[in-house]
Amino acid sequence: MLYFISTFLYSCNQTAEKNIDSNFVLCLFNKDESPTSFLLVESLEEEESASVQIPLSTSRIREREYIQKNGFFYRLSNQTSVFTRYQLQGSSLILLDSLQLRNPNFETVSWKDEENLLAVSREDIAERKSQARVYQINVKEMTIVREDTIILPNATDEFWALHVGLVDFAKGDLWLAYSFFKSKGKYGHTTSDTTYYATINYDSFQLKNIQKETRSTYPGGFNIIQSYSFKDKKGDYYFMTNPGIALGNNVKLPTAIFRKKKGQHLVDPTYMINISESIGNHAYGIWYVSDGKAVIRNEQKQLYTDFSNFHSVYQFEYRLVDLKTGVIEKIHFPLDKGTQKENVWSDDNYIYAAIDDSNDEHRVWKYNLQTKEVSKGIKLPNTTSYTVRLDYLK
Amino acid sequence: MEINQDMLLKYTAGQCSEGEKLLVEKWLDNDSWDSIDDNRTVAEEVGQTMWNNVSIDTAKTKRIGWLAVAAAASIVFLCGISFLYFKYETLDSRYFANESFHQTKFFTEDHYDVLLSGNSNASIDLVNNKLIFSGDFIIKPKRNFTLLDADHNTLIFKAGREYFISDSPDFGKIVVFQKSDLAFLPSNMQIKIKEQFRSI
Repeated sequence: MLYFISTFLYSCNQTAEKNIDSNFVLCLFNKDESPTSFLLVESLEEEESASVQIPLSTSRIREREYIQKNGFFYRLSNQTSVFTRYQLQGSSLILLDSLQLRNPNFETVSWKDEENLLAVSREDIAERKSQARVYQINVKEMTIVREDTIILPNATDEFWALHVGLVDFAKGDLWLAYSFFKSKGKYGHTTSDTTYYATINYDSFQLKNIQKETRSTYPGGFNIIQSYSFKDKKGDYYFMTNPGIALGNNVKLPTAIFRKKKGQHLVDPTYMINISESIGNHAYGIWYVSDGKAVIRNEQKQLYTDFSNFHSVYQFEYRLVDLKTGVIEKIHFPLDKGTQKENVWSDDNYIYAAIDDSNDEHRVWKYNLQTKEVSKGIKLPNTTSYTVRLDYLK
Repeated sequence: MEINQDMLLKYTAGQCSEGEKLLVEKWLDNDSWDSIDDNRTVAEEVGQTMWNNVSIDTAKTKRIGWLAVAAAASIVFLCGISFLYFKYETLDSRYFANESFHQTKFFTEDHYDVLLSGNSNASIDLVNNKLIFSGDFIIKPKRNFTLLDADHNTLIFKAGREYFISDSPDFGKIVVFQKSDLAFLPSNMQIKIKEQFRSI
């Protein structure tokens, strides 16, 4: 403990500026097992200098699972199942309120509207029930508006453990995308070759329809860690499946992008962008850019050997996907390290990605959407080991 | 009482009262993001003021005087004494086994603590710097040391850190993960490791 504190106190020589008007927060895993910290910055440009770093407590040394919306931070403790709401005020994180839930381990969340969060966890795994617990939480009032359990069908004796990867709400119905996995060995797992999409009447909480998908498996992932879906300007819903070793671990099936058109409950059977076939690798994480394009983050199978170095080798690339044509272009950022990072943000002109490169330089890089040029953005503290998140606060 | 920069510095210097020490340790181990008491905030001290103070402290160190030279000499002397002490300190070779299938077993030694998972064993030889093991365990070194595993990989352990070690084929080969590395494993793997080792 002494080492942690002293390392952190003295290793960061940072010029602080009181009460900066921060627009972005970066979540940093720091070197030497120092506490995870938030770096608040006004802009992502290279000449940026005003920043403030807030260390979290040592027990949060590897925590990056939280929800950020409009400058508020929401966190669920897996130890206590307490859901808490924080707000950044100047350089302070202020605890506003907390709420006791019954379940830990949210797997997926989405915003029903500006105030209501839908959060889904799997439940009663020990009893081999493939059931999910759905919470609707009003985050302004910090109240549970409703909570229900739904048994999701199609578990088998072999594949019975549930993964709820995606949740969406449209036209009075809840939509869940899920798959089933089984343990393999002591720590391993693999996912069955089928995805299911369930439509549930939200008022009665009755199952209306199940759509079976065999083109890929493991829809979404834990989206409080990384993004796997978005709605475009038209309101069409896009999502990615993730059967690579870091998530679903059924590597023969492809990473792919699917679409559910606005107002539809069924996933479009005619639409699929096969990422793995195009680039020869699996990807994890998808971020909407604009103008019908999205960024993905892909692994490179020739650069890692197994789980012993998957996170630590510099292998991750970024690519721009045209959602209409399926054309995929490589963005020439430096190779990145770290599994499942939520580190991409874009405006109308640039894509920004926070990258930890092989020179041990930690920096936000920019991609000009018009000229396709890559340039440098803000340099991050050299005490950083992994930049695991980049969130826009406004 | 709130945790602040002064108290953290006093804690690292071993100058806290028992009450303050308890408060700091509670803060370090608590489950919230930023404070001891969930209704209080400490971020002003931990964030803004801390960096200001660190900057001031850094500026102060630029003025090197005789006092600083004397202090540096003292540190060199103490390091020398420590080196001699550790050089002649008794290093040992120990064998640990846990035959239980489900329970972990904890061992505390002079140079490290070990938590063995079920059906695991480890032979830790600090004299010849060798590690032979089967299964999974967590080791918390109390001093720096290096061990060679059965595949002749050099494993570096640093005092004060916490390491998860496994020969499970699920990882591909022998793995030594620091605590922060575990965040990058698939969630199912993390859950299974946490189920075995509640303390990590």
